[in-house]
Amino acid sequence: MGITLNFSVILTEIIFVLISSLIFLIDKFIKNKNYAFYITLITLVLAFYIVLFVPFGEFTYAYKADFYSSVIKLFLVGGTLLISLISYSYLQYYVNLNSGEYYGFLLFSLVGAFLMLSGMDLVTIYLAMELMSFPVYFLIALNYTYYRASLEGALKYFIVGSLGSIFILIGLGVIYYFGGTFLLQEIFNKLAQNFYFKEFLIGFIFLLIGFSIKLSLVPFHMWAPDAYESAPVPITSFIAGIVKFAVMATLVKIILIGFNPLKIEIGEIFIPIILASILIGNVMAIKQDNIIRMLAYSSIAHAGYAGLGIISADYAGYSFTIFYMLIYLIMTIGIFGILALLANYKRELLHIPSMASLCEKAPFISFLILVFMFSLAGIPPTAGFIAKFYVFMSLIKTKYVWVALIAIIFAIIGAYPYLRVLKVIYMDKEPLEFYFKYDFAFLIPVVLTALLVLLIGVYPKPWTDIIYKTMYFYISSLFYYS
Amino acid sequence: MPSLGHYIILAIILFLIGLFGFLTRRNLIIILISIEIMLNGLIVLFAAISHFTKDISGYIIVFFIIAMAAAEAAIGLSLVVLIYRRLRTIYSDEIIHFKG
Repeated sequence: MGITLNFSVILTEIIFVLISSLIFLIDKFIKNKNYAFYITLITLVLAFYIVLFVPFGEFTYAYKADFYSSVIKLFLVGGTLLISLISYSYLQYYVNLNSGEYYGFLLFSLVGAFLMLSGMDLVTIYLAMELMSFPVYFLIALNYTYYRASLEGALKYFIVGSLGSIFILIGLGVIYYFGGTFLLQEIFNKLAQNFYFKEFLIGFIFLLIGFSIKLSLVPFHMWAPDAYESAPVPITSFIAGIVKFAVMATLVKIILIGFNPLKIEIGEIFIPIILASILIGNVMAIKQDNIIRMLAYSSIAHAGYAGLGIISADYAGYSFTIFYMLIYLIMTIGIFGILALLANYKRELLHIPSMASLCEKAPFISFLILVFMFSLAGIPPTAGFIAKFYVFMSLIKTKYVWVALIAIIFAIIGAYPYLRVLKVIYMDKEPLEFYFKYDFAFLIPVVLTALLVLLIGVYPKPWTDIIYKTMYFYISSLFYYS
Repeated sequence: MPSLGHYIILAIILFLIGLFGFLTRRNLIIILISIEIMLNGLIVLFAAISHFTKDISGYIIVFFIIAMAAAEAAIGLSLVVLIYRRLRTIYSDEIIHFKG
């Protein structure tokens, strides 16, 4: 078996890197800065088709395009498409941010997520994770012209993120010392023959520390609210939605392909981390007055809910983890799209008590906020309920009933911060000055995500089916190799 | 002729020096230098393992880590320069806008 250099497999990444480099090159010479948005939009629509038609296959040992990674790439491209639409309407009001670099960094970060999803090698996954997170530091720091403290948030994210990458490297060192390889497939073969169980587990714990810094799980969550508040609003949805989705999908992939024989022990390691993140995320969200900080703490809790599927150590549970992150991606894009509109016309509205009687000035927007808040809290006709339901069901099926019970109690606590926003909007009466007009680039992403939330809440079967099928292909490929 | 154990001890000592500086110092430049020291300890670890097991992939990741450390230093320094120009400080205990 020789090394194959099949360039058609990595066509998407090549196109993305070329186009974002092009944006960086020509940005100096073009006066009208909206050109970068159109280039990005065309690239992403093109990428949608390319990801659909790219052949599956390997590019050396380090990269493999398969069904799982292609499906998740499709979701990521769709999410970034909607986020770039939100960015377009946001940047019309925050003109100093409106430069080609904004979209160039967005595309570079997406390339990193793609490479990370299809990496078959821990080194590739590490490098791609760095490529994904470096542009995000700059995107947070770009906001300093409007909000001086945003430099502090970027610095905190940078320092914590570099510490996380060091921890990933320690994990790689431990795995390389005992196993002598970085390839996920060979790690699986060594583990299947009962070599070095404990040592690989220690290496995985170090990897997990690095990944949970990116996912903002609990002992490493302190950067999240500051970084989220200091970023521009569309970038916040990028960090919370796209980056977390890609990291969680990669974590599931590493467990499935590489550390599959260890998956029960890994689930047991996850129990305290996940329960603590759900509890702390929900409790800290209660006392926040800034709605973006509130959503940052809730995103800590939501990463925790998604991790419940990993505890169950079951292939269906893993697919429900991915499903939960997909739903969370949809909800984040919707709610941050609305917040971007509010910030465009009146930035004080991001403070929760000043949102009072928004329902009289903007009934449609208030209704959309209601849909997304119900979905985040997990109330039945919405997708958030279905996602939580599946995750808890997979836990109960695998005999972790007590974990499911504790998590459900924490989820009830977590409904308060969302319902408080609705109470302020619909029940408090205060005079409010607020004028706005609907915008094409705002309406498409927000209405689309609201419809998706309601649709998946009523009829979730095709989405869970496609995600479960990707898992099924992985499992069958594992049996084929070993 | 030093053995693999010696190199691993050297790597651990370098890493702990970096971690100590990272946790105790308040100057942002020193924090960046500490991150570089930790990465150098890891480079020593990978190169030593690769040398003693006659396996090439350790050397490859060494080059990747060097490039990644350079990129990280560039990002960190540009952030620190921007912070010094805007907030007039480079001490981490004076940058206290966000609380809780």
